Amino acid sequence: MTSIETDPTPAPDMPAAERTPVVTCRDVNKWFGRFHALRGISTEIYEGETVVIFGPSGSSKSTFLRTLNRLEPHDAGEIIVNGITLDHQVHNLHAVRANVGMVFQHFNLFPHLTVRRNITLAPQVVRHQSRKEADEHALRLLERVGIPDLIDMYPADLSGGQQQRVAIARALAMDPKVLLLDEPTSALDPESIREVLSVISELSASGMTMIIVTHEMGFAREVASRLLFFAQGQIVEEGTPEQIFDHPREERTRQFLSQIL
Amino acid sequence: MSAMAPSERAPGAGPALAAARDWARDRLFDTRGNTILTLVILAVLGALVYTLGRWFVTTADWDVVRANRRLLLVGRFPHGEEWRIWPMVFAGTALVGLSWGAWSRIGPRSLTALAIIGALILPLFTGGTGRPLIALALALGAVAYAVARRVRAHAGWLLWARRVAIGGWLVTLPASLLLLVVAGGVETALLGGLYLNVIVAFAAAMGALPLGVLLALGRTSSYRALRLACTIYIELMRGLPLVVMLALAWLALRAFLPAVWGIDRVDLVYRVIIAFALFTGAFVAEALRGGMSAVPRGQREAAAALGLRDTQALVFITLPIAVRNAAPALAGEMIGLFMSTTLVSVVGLTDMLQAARATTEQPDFFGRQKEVLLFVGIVFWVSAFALSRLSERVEYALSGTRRRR
Repeated sequence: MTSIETDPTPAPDMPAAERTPVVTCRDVNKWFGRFHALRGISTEIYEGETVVIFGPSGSSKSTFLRTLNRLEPHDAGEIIVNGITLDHQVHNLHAVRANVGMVFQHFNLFPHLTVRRNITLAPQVVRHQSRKEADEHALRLLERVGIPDLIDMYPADLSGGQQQRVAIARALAMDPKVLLLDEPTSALDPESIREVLSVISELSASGMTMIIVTHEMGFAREVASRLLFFAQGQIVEEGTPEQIFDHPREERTRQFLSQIL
Repeated sequence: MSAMAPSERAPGAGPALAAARDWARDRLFDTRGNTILTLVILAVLGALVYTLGRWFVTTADWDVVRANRRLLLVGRFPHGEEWRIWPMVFAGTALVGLSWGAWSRIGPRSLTALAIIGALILPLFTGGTGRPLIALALALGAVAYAVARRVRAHAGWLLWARRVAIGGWLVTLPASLLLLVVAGGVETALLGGLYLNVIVAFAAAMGALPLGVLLALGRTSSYRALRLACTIYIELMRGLPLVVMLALAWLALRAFLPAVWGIDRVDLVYRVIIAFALFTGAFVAEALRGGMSAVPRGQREAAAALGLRDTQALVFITLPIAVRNAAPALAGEMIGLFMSTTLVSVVGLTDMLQAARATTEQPDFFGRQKEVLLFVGIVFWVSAFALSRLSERVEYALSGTRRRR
């Protein structure tokens, strides 16, 4: 494995202590049949960063996110997560995944388990935590996302916003090094969107490393330390919110922003 | 027409009665055609109920059942060996009571049903040596129910009551089979009556459920050879009539069993159980496969994203959701299995139905097959209905909601 290259787009306001890449992608390519979904993605995600990926639908934003825990295997290029190269030789894929939290657009809570068991299942089964330890952690996480009183409910009894907050708590229960959020508010009503976004903002402020695919541009401007603009399977432009929103360099970016803002 | 249609109410009648009369007038007697239809149907129903009722009370002679109840219940089970059966009866009633109380309650409708069934069946047990034991079994069920209802107020105790109930069922079923074998055992050819139906159904279910899980996994596996083998097995079993399977168990199964520990020389009853398990396993597998294919991909992805290995995701996520999806179909298979056990007579075993037929050969009871067949029918209907209600409760318990439906 070659040594980590210097950051191609250094964010000058970042302290040096946080300059460790959690995720490194070099020339990542993916095809679905003849459709070239990812066309040479290269980027690095650093500890403590909140990276927002945005772009038109069909630009493979979600696909890219899903390659980072190998829910979608990539076909060419290199992905290194927490120092482990993801390829078909990865023997301990489940260990890599345990360190990468994921929050889905449709929550994907386990319908047959209570909120408590949804959160404690993986810590108990994968991390071999005791039930007591896992339960206590679950309660703390639910307090953090603001719904401790729902611990004994089933997912079907919760609103969309509550379910997504449980899903965030479930992902956090594994103490992930990085949290992937795949359009976390796209399936929610406006009120629930506010609930969930405020939880994510709080996480971002607490220093959690996050990669978020979202269409909520106001939110992106507020929380993102860096934005990646995706179009047709490529990173067209990346930069801080000020650079992207106020001084976009690329015509494609300008066009997209003018359509949605 | 709608029941909301304005109708004058006769003074003096209670509101329920008035509502019933309004309903009847609006729904049953609203046009001349409907009035005629209603009267004709009432006449037919009335005649039917009258004929049946009169037969039930005056003509029917239940002595045939009373005199043969031992034959109907346990066949030619050797005298003096009944201790092998009673523990199962006691554990069964106690566990039914405990489970009923721990997950549900005996509502007015259930109570009515229990009363009717009791009134129909219990008079047949007046006199006879088993009476105190039957009373004990019923008392155990009632006490277990009362205990379960009492501990409901305390969440921790209720959890324990449920654990005891589930553990009890898991232990009782194999233990009651074991009781047939220990201390010299009973010649299995002497097993018969309802007891044979129950034993065959329980034992076959215990084999068919794990077999069905394995077959369903095999058929959805990514290994082509395994998938093919499981598919061939399932389609073969689903295509064979059960009677053919039983005939094979009777005549040919020994030739296919390995000659270790004398497995190839097992008794007919065991071979019949194996045949039922192999047969039902294929249907269980298909029900489960349906349940598994209905598990959304997102659930498996969420499990994978959390770091669960494939087997862990299967055990903790996919299978429980699949069982929940397949619960109605699985309950149907189990009821079907119990009903099919009456086919064991084709290989010469005397189950309850066969025992009932045998009674009509007795000189004292010539022409009494109506009574005895009706009794068998009631027993099977009650069992199947209980299983069906049980599966409803299981579905509710697995439904993943705290809301009442």
